[in-house]
Amino acid sequence: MPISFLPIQIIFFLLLLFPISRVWLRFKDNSVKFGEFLFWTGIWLAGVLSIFFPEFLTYFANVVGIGRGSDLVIYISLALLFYLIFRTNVKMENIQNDISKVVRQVALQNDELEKKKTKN
Amino acid sequence: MTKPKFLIILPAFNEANVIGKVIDDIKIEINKFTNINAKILVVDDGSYDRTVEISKSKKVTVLTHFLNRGLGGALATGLEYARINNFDIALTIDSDGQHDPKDIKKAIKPILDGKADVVIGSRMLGQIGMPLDRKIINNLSNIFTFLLFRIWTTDSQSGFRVFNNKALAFIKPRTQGMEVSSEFFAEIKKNNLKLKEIPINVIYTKYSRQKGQSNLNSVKISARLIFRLFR
Repeated sequence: MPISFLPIQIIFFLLLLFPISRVWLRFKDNSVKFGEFLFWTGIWLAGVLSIFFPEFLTYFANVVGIGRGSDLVIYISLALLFYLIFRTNVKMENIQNDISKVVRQVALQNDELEKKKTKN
Repeated sequence: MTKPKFLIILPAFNEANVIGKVIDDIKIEINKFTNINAKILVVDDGSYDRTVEISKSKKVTVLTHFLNRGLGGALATGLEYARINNFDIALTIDSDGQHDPKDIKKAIKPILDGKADVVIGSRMLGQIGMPLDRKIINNLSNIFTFLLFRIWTTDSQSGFRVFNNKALAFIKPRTQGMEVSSEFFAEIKKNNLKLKEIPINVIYTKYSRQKGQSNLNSVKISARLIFRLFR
């Protein structure tokens, strides 16, 4: 199957190299776990494939009953984005809870220290 | 026979205008109790006015958060203090002067009689009515609390609550802001605690309305409660 090299394809490919490299570097310095590395690399590689083989997208779109490959990409992207936002919000709430635990411990410990000072 | 230890928790954020009077009024009521040892705890949630200074001048215990954590954070600190110091009963009451300290005695009675693990003071059952907009929001909150946590209450947003030591052992809220009021019901349901509601009076002033939940906040609070389900 011939790969076409339209300018827009080259541009998108080069743009995608950047997040692929970031994911790899973050994985190397252990900022990103293996599962997350696979997930994000998969996403970006799927993006690269769809740039050079757009007919695959059209095929999958037709299989699920959508007319155009680009529509399929948008629907999947939206669903993924909403899920990621939700997960991020849950993580942020957990972080807020952890911050409160620290603040609470400091408040209680300061009270204990004051009590000891008053006793002495 | 030793008297039960009773802690009154006042979560406070920038309440310098009223906290002194609130503490004085509570002291008047608790000095009438002969059968329990009552103590007042102010949990200062990172105030930048004179809340801490005024509270300390009233010779009550003051815990200070070095960062503002929200109502939920402050209440959780107060309840943790009650647990660590082996209190038998803990009551939470608003620091903005909205609640009438005269209701404290009837609120702790079901706890002392062993008829309830948790008592909620309901403004909807009280004689002095809530403003209409608050009634509407409160009813919607009650419905939302029921849908999420399967427990019905006439005042899911009440800040007037009493816990016995069994409830104190189990109830550890994780939400930070005003959504904690609904979260208490989730904890009550989850831990099969006996809940009783009593009517309380509420003192609405321009000041206390400014300090309370804003009606527009309801959407944000509801969203946080939904996230809490997934944590």
